[in-house]
Amino acid sequence: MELFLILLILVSVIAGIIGSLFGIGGGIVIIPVLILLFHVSVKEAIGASIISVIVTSSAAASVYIKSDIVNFKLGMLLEIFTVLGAITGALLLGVFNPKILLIIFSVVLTISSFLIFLKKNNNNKYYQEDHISKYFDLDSKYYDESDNKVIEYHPAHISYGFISMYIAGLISGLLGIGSGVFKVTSFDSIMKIPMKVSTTTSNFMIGVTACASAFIYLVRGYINPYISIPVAVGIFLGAMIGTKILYKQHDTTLKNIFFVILIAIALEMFFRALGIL
Amino acid sequence: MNIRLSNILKTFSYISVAISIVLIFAMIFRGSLYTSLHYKYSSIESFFYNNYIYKFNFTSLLFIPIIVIILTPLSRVVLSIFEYIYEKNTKFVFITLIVFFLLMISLFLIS
Repeated sequence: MELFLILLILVSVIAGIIGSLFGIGGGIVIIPVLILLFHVSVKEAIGASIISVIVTSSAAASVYIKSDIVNFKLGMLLEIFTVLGAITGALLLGVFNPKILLIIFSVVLTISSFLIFLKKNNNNKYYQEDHISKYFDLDSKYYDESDNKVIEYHPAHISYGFISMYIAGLISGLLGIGSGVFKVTSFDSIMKIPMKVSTTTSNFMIGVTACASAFIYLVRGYINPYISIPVAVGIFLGAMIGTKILYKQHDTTLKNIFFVILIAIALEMFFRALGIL
Repeated sequence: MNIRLSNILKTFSYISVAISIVLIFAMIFRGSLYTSLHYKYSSIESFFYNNYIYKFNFTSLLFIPIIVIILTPLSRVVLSIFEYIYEKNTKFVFITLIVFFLLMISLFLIS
């Protein structure tokens, strides 16, 4: 059984690296591996995934906040809409067929991934003044270690951002998944924020969204501590490694890898809808 | 503000991971890893009704790091409220309070 433990921690380390780099929590790796390799039940796998999202968020955010990459104010403002969406999703649970939703979202993700892949870097080249952004003083800048320069950016289309974040929360509440991938896509495609700020701010936000879901899973008995504890340790180690890697990566590299991850998530959702995962 | 928030997140994370590592060694020592695949709690209520938490048996201890992990983001929101009050940023005191109350509502809806 020690081999089981070692494998579980190793897989979690990989999930932690991916999760912290791309602001998606790591569930994409954890859930299928726990189900297919370790024969854990779907509910317990999702429970462990929720814990992994919070650990990734807390560990990575503790580093990213210090380095000023996270747009803290923007994240807090948008959390209102993700939490509202998550509550609505939880209330609507059972009204919609989750399989149809999974298929719709897998198609949306595939389209979004190609849009992100084909688009040039934001880095503020298409600056449009946004009155909400101005009112809440959301413009910011950060030092990019890979390019060795300070990058200024001005979040755009915040009102559309509210809607997309509400939808991200709704998906999270309805499907019991971390909605980090939708948050990053929304930051990048709608609010025109640099990729590094998108992934780190998403990382910062997903912990709060997952917090409410985690209580639901804890109350319903879906969190198996014998699995979640080794996962948490592995995820923490992975997240700390991921934060070191992020600084050295160019936005374009991150974007290209994110494209592959989006396709993988879209496929996972599609297979879950078909009942294969 | 950033440094204080970073420190609280780091402290909570290190505490939960340190407890988790000790418990993993305990699992190996007790040979109880096998139970991971045959875990039988139907709900947290049964966990409380069976008085496991008061008995301080091994499984009840396993929930300590889990609860610390879940409370970490909540503590970050609470700290942010005080930080914005300190900064006299009324807009974001209000926004963070809304996030906090929404989280409380979600918890209330669950129970």
